[in-house]
Amino acid sequence: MLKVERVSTGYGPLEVLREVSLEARAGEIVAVLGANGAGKTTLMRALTGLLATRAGAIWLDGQHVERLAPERRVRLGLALVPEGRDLFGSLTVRENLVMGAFTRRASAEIEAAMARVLAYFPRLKDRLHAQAASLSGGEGQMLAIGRALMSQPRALLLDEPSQGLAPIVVEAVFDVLARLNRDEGLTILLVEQNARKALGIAGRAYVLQSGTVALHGTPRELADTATLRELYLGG
Amino acid sequence: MAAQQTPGSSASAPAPTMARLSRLAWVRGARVLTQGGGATFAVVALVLALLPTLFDGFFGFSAGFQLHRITLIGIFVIAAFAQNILTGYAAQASLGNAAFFGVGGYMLAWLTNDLGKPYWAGILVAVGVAAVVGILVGGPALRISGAYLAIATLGLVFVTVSLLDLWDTTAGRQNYDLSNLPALLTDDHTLYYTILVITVVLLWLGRNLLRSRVGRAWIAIRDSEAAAEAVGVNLARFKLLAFVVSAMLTGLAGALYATWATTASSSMASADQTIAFLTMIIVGGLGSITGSILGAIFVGFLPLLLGQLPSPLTIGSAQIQVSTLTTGIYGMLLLLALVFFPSGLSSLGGRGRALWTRLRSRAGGQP
Repeated sequence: MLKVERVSTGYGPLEVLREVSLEARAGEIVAVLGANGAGKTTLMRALTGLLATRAGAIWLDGQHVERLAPERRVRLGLALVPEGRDLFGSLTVRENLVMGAFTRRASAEIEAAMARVLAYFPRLKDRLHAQAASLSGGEGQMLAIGRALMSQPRALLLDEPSQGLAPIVVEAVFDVLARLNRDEGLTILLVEQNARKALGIAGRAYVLQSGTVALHGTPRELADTATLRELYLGG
Repeated sequence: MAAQQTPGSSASAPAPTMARLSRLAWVRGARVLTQGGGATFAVVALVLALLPTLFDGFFGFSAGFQLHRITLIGIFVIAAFAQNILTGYAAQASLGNAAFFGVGGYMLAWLTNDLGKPYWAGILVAVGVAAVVGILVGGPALRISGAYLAIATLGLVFVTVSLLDLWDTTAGRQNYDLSNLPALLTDDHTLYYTILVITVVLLWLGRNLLRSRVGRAWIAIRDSEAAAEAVGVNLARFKLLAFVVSAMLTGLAGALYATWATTASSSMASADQTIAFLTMIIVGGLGSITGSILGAIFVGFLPLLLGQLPSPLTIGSAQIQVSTLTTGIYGMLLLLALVFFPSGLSSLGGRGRALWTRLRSRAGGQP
C-alpha cells in the first residue's frame, strides 16, 4: 500500500532522514515512534510531498509518488492530519471539511463524504457553523481528522494526534481511528510520542532515532526490547 | 458547489468573548456587510443614489466640484478591495499595487489618446495589460514570501514609476492628459453614477468570488499554508490567481482614476500611492470587504480634511505645505492601527456589540 524505500531528506545542509525504509500494508495500522527531533514530522512532510525527498522512493499502491506534487498524492488517496491540527481557523467547521475535499469537484460526492465524517464525529455536527478557531482541542483534532477523511483517502497519515489532548480525548480519538481501520479497511500510519497509546492500536511499529529506523516489529516484540522500554515506556 | 456555506449563517453562534473576537477579526468584517440586514443596506443605497441631489441642495454652486471629489472614494474602494484580496485574504504582502494602478491609467491614456481607440475598449485593454503585469510580478513572487515579497514588489513600484517618467519625458509632457474621454464621463453626475455602479458590481462579484472555492483556497493559504497544500491546494496557482485578480481590479481603478482626473501621472505608480492603499486596508480591516470600504472612505477623506487647513500652514516660524503631510499621516495611521487596532475599523461593529452584550448582562445581574 504505502512503502518507503531508503528515503533521505532534510533542510538545507541538515540531513534529517537518512535512508529510512518502512511500509504500511493495506488495512494495517502502523505506528512510527520517536523522540523529539527524531524526524517524525519530516517523514510525514516527505510522504505528503510538502518536503522534497533527496534520495529513495515512495510507493503508493505500486506507483512512484516521490516526485508528485502534494495535490497529486491527495488525489491518489493519501491524506495528512498535520501536527498541531493546523486548522483553517477563520473558516467554519463546515468550510474546513469542504476544504478537505478540495481535490473533489462533484458536490454530491462532497456531501456524501461529509455525511460519513459526521457519522464518525457527531460532535462536529453541532458545531458545523462555528469558527474552527473556537473549537476545543478535542473538537479541533476531530475536525483535523475529518478534514483529512474528506478526500476519501485510502491511507491516512497522522502526525502526533494525541498532542496536547486530555487522556480521555486521546482515548476517543484513538477509538475512532481503530473503527475507521476496522470498518472501512483504512490504512493508517501514525507518528507518535505517546508510545504506549500508539502501540495499543498498531499492528506494527517502527522506532525512529536520529533520522534512521532503529527498531521495528510488532508492539509485543518492541515492548520486550530494552531500548524502547528505556526510551519511551518509562523503564 | 452545493457544499458552499455562506459565512453569514454563523450569526446565530453565541456571543463570542472579546479575546475570541480579536482572534477572529479576519473574516468577521466580511460578515458585517451582510449581517447589518436589509434595512442598513437600503438606507446606504438610498443615500448613495440620492447623494448628487443632496449635494445640490447642500453645496449649491460648488455641488459639482464636491461630488467630483467624493467620486474618488469609489475608485479607492476598488483599489483597496484589490489590495485586500491579495494581502488580507491570500496573505501576499504586496507593496506593488501602485504599479498596476499606474499601468492602468497610462494604458487608458495611450489607447484613447494616441491610438484613438474607443473608451471602453481602452478600459478592457488596460485591465488586460494590468493582468499581464500581475502575472509577471506574481510569477517570481511565488518563490518568496513575507518581508522579502514586500520589498521585491516595492522594487516593482520603483521600476514602474521610472518607466512611466521616462515615457513622459521622451514624449515631452508633464502628465499624460486624457483629451479623448466620452463627453458623458466629463459630467460630474454621470461620472459619479458610473463609478458607483462599477464599484457596487465589482464588490458583489468579489464577494461571491471570496465565498467560492477560490476564495476559500485563499483564506486557507492565509490560515495555514502547509495545511492548504496538504489538502491539495496548488499554492502556486492560487497565489498567482490572487495577483492577477488584484492587478486587474487595481488596473481598472487606475484607468478610472485617470478618467476622473482627466490625466495620468507617474505619481500614480509611486511608493506613496502604495502606502495609501496599504493604509486603507490596515486601517479599514484586513480580510474584510467592509474594511476595504471603510478604509477607502477614511483615507479618501483625509486629503479633503487637510484641504480645509490653510496652506502653507504656519507653526511658529515653520511653514508647512499641507499636501506634503498626507503620506506622513498615512504612515502614522498605519503605525497606530497596527499597534492599537490590528483588526481595523471593520471590527468596531463587532466589538461594540460584544461590549453592549456584556454591559447589558452585567446590568441585568446575569452571570
